[in-house]
Amino acid sequence: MTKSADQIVAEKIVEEFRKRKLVKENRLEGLAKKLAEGRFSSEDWKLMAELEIENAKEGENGEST
Amino acid sequence: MGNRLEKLTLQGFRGATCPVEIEFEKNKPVAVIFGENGTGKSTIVDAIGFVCNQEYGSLTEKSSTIPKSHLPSIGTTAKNLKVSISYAGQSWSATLGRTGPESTGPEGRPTARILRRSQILQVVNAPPKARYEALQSFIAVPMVQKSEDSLRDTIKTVKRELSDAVVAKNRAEETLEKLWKAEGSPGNNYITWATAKAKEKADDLQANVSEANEILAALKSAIEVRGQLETDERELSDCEGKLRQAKEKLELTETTKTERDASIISVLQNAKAFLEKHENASQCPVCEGPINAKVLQQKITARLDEMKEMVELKKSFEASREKFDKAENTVSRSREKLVNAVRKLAPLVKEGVFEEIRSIAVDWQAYPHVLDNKQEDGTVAMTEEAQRLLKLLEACQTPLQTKANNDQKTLNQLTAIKGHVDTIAEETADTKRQESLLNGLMKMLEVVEKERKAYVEGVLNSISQTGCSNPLDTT
Repeated sequence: MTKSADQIVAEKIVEEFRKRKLVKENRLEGLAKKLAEGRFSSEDWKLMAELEIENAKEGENGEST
Repeated sequence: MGNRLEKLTLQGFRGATCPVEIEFEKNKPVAVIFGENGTGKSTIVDAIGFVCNQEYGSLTEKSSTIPKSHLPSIGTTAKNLKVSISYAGQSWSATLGRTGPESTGPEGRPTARILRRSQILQVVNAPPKARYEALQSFIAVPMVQKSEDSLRDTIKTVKRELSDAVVAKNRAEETLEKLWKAEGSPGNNYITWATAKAKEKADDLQANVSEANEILAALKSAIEVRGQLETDERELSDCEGKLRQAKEKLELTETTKTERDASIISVLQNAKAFLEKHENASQCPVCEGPINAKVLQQKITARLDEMKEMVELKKSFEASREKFDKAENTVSRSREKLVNAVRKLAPLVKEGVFEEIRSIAVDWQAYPHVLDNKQEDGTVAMTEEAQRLLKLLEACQTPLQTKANNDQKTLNQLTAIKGHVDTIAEETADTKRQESLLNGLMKMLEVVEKERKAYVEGVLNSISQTGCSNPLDTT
């Protein structure tokens, strides 16, 4: 099945998130689909960013201990 | 060089009444199809769109035609219609089904991006603002744009929350600085001062304020009771004077009248009352002699009228005595209340730790009865002792009230400082959190925006570089 323009851009966005390590791998699953369907809401963005901050903190704590 | 369209086969498709096979040069970057009007250029492009995009093509632009019924060539039917393409070593075909074009072939069927002359003219002729709309179908990614808009909304919200946190923090800092300056700017700076103040224990201060307030309340209550006793005693004294006057008048009248008259009034009043109750009595209840009750009653009334002044004086005396007795009882109760109020106050003061009270130097042994709850509490002596003690303790009311007020003020200040220090800590943490959040969201927006724009630019570049000759795109 041909990919729509939204799917193509959504996949590129996810790939870039992965490359820049902005979002943890397990949270990238299904993200492209939601982005391509316009279903990624404000709350979803906020939650994802908050989880990444938590993740970063845990990483820092892990390194320091 | 990327993949190119290799071959196109038309069968029963629009003007292709006979099977047509077009082979494209794989190694050329551009393929140009030219010819007179009506020679089939649009048919070739529509055939590509029919397979790749499952669309009817330019027929949809003609309002007078039904695309499905005009797609098969003249003299043939939909069953005989078939278009095939070869691309990147693979082939796909499309036929006309009941609902429209139906493509078959391996996965990864290419998408054709077809820019028609009408669209180019639309772009050329449109005012600058409308040009984007004309190109929108090629470059729009509405769903990704929707997700991006949500991300922008989130960023706006976080920015607002960050701003609120900064404002709250600044406000708390300003208030603390004012408090610090009001205290004479002690220490290095207001933050150090406030942090130290916030750590001070307020429990002792709170206990002192509570204790002082308890003593002050008991003192106030005792003073109020004393005031009431004074009023009651004045009332008693007034009643006593009136009683004395009534007695003197009565005694004076009694001496001027016959003593017999004075003492018989009661007898006559009682006899009159008896006869009023027994109107038909025929016998005297004392001598048992025959009587005419009505006549006798008239006679008694007449005699009592003669002694009216004496009767009124006696009535007045009785009323005065009644009032006096009542006032005496009231005073007695007020004395009890005063003693109780002072008994409640005394231990609070005695066990209190305040310098303001110690400075009065109460000799508690001088008030043995008040401090002994077993003692009867309404006696005059006891009351006097309670009043003496109260008068002494009253002296500490003003200094104790001042101390309580000052302590309360200090307590309020400590509570306020602690609250502001807590607010600064909370808002600082919140600010940091919001900044991190904003930073993360901005990075995400950067990626989303960049990829969306890159895609749009890519499509526009592809149009500008290859035009219609390279309509296939599998990216």
